Amino acid sequence: MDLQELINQKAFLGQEFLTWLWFVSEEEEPPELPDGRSVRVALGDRLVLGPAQGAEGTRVTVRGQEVSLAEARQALRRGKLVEAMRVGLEMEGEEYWLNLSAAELAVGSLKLPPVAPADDPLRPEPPGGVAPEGPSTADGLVLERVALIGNALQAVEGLFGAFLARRLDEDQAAGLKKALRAWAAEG
Amino acid sequence: MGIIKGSVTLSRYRVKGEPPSEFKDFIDERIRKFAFREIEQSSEEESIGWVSIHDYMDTSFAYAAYALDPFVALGLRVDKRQISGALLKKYHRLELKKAHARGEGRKLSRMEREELKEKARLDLLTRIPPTTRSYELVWDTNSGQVWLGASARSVRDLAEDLFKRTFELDLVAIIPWDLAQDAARTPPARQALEEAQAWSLFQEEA
Repeated sequence: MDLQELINQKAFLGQEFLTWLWFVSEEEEPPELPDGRSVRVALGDRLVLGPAQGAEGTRVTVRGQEVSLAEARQALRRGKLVEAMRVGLEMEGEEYWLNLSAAELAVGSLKLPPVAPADDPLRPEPPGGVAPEGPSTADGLVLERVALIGNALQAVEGLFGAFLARRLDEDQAAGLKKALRAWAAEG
Repeated sequence: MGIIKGSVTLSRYRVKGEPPSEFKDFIDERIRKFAFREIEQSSEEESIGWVSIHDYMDTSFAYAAYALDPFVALGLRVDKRQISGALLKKYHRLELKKAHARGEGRKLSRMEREELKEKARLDLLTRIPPTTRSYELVWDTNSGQVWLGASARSVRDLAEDLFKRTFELDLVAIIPWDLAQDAARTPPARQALEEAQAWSLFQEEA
């Protein structure tokens, strides 16, 4: 089997991962990243469900909370899986919101925690009250933004890793599947 | 949407290939070589090149301003003159009319008509100011990852092409399979990943 074929065959992992994120947001304790930080997952205001890989069928898009989720859960019970979603990730008191798609796990419309501007009174005072030698304020802001984006990407990758660790482990997989099925059957 | 302000939309890549040993000198020379060139005073249709990530008017890169160790942070500017089909048609017709008048009604060949269309297009290019779009690109030279602040296929193609021409290195898009392989580090996990089959999770029993 060549690499492209293998990649196409495993595309279902993206759908299963997003579906698991939804499950985690409702049912589970915040998962832990490899560096020990825990991530609280929250479902955003957009959820797209589509047929599982290889199956035919229509997409279901729901917006808003609570009421329309009933429709999404019904789609789940009909065998559809999450194709795209808006999700909130909270780490160390900082909140990130982003769109994720199952096909590419690409990050879109990522809203970062605020970056304190240089003249913000809440920004920590530099030692001795003098700005250190180094990047300009504008460059500093770029570096802060890059660090925050890196945080969000680490969280997504860490969560994907946490999902796969359970999904691919023979002992844990059966329990996870059972829990997901029970959750889907609710509500 | 981009990287340095507002909400962020990203395309992620891995850099394939080894940068040269004199890396800093090499990228400085190459960024300047492929810096954006203005086409405001010409009739060129399109110009693509590197600019400051903070200001698309700045192509001086004073003090290697793109270097935010370990990151290389650049703006990618695309200027393009766009002529609508309707506008081209109108000016083509005007050229045809003038040619008819000059030729006292002689029927124009297909090639002559095409030449007049090209003339109308070139004339319009000198009169239409280019539109400017800019995107942000950050290269983490430690991890070998590149982030592009855009997701549209057309922008990705432009960025991938300019990056390759500039640094003689390929950008390879990061896909979930790469992330899965990174996550499955042990041989048993790798094997389980390759053998994994889709779960039929939620189909209600008939």
